[in-house]
Amino acid sequence: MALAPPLSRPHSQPVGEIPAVRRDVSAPTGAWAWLDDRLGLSALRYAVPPHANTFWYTLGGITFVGIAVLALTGIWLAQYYNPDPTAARLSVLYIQNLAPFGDVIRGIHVWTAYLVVLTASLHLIRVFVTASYKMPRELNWIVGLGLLAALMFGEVFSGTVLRWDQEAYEALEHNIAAATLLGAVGGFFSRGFTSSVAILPRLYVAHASIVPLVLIVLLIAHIFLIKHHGISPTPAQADTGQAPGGRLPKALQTGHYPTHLRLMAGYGLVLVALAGTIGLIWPQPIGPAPDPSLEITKPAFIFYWLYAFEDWFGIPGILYGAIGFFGLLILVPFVDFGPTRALRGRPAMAILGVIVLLAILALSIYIGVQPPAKHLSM
Amino acid sequence: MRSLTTLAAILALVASATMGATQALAHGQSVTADPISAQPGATISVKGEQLGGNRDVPVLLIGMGKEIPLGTARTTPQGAIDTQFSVPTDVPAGNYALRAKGKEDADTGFTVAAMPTMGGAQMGQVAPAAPEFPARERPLSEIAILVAIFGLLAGFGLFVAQATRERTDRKEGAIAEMLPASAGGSASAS
Repeated sequence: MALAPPLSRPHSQPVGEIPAVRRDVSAPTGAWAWLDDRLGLSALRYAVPPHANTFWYTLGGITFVGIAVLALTGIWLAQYYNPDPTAARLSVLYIQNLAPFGDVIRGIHVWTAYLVVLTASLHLIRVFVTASYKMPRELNWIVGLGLLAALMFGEVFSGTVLRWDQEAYEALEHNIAAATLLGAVGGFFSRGFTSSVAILPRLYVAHASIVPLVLIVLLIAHIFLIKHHGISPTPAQADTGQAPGGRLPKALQTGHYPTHLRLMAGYGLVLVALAGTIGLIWPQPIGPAPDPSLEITKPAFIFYWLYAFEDWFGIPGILYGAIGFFGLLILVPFVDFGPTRALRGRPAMAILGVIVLLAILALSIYIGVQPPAKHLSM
Repeated sequence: MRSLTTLAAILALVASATMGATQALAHGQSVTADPISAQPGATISVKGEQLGGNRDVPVLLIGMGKEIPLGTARTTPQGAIDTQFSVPTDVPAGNYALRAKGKEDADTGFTVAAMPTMGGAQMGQVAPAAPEFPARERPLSEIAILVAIFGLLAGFGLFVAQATRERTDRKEGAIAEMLPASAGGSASAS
């Protein structure tokens, strides 16, 4: 089929401000231009500075690709998973052992989930180190924290419970006990919320529908705000006055946007391949059927640091740990609001960041070598 | 240091508020059923804690718009129960909350499994454990092929990223040379 030539599109930049050669670099051509003329896809693009096309500034994009992979593999898994408590564990065993490529797809799904939490955390660290949460991006920092919380406590946690083995059952019991402490706020997680359906199918609905919807809304808000504010300046640019109001002028946003997308896609493929390989070599075990009289497991390793608080303070420790951690992070842009962005000029934040990071690592290792402890009867 | 002091003050405020609220809400009563799924007529073991000392605690199934009593258990002075009950034979299959109505109520999930329609277990017996699937055993060669495919995928991803960056660096270098200094030409190198 012959493609009609693209219509010429008006450019938003005033003629003469930027030399014409810049338009040619990123202007769509061929089939892409044909599609763009009809669908307006270029409205999604935004100006990027050259430093945006580096690994550290692509971590958010890699996380986005990972979430897309989770959605795709999740659709496949949903064709075989049965959320009825009497059949759930058996259906996971079916996926792992009989469904075509079930072990491979499940491995990609599970390990991509862990890796996405890792890339999101590294993205958070990059934003913290470069002080990108400062004016005017304070609210986008909070939206990002909401995304991390939804991924960790919404998706990874509920995904663990769906396995419906001993660890899943204990995780759910811990969650219900913690939710009870929240009173009406935690009502969704109580068995008394409804007697017409068990909590496992309701968690499945949350895992496959409610939380993804929340993630989509937060992602749209996050990406819209990135487009609105532009990619944040480097600390050096901000501290030398090249980014008035925290925004880089157009003249400094000479990066190539398609490069930004290709880097996301390239590193995203590496993420999927890594998840698939780990899943093959180190498959996620499916434990024995739940025995409610036992408490013999530990949570997934990404929750080890919270489990330490539970060891010390019982079930409320989970709440204190999570609320304390995310509360601390929410406050960061409102406490560190000065103009300096270089980490060297923010010693208090640098010390605090290192302490929190080391504490999470130390607690995770400590729990990793400790035997499981009983908490539900504390 | 002023920012640290502000942070510490806010944290102390938040911690004191949440600790107070949590302590007011935490009670610790609990109940468990073993097994957590059984057919009508089966015997189940119900254990509970912190339900109030020396009292008769009604235990019931709640669900499907019904409340079905299983019986009553007497708590120890410490508020614990450890009793066996039979699941009534006329309970419809489905998901229920098993509630022990002590000083404060404690709930746990319980599933009444459907009776087999032909053959299988007799009335009053827990359904025999469904046979678990034999573990999938992929030959080493198949695992090697899959790992190689993932390796190629990762290699392709890295190639795309690297090639894109090199090409862009060249283009941006060319642009920087063509741009006048006032338009940021000197600052465009990454």
